[in-house]
Amino acid sequence: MQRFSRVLQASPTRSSPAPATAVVLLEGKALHLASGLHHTATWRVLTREQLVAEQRAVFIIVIQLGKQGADMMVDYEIPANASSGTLRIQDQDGKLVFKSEESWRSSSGSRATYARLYGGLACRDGTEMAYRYNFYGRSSESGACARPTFPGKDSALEW
Amino acid sequence: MPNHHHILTAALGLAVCWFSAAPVQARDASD
Repeated sequence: MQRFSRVLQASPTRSSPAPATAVVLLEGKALHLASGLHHTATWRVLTREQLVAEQRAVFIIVIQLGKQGADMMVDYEIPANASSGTLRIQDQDGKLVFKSEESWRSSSGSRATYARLYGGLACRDGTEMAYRYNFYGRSSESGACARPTFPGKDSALEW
Repeated sequence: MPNHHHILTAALGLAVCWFSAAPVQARDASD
């Protein structure tokens, strides 16, 4: 069942506040592009340090940007809805067409990504990550940290 | 390579716009 809501500007849980702008994290082969990309009214490009400092849970990780022939290709991961894949953007007679290629869903991959970014770090009350961890790790709608630090890779099932 | 960089920036912006408007789907329970 689909609900027409925004993936990158949705709340991490039903009860938590929604972000005003989409957040982009560049990693891998896209990392070197960070210095040339600027914030806009609708999206912000954050470094890993900035993302972690804000304890963001809703963001898109862009791993690679490139061209394949005339098409633009975006390799991505969105841990908030456990999705990953490649987005192909085509210009068909002046109309942009988006095709999701090689997309897959993996909740274990999502847990591993959050553990990689936040494992062992102190939780702050009221952040997106506090809501997200409580909702999926503890089945709670609270934004008060359920534990002082986030679990790491060794205990990824706690996510 | 400013043109190449502009293309990549455009791709990033388009991708963000696409995912900002995309429907939310229920999380897949399977791993």
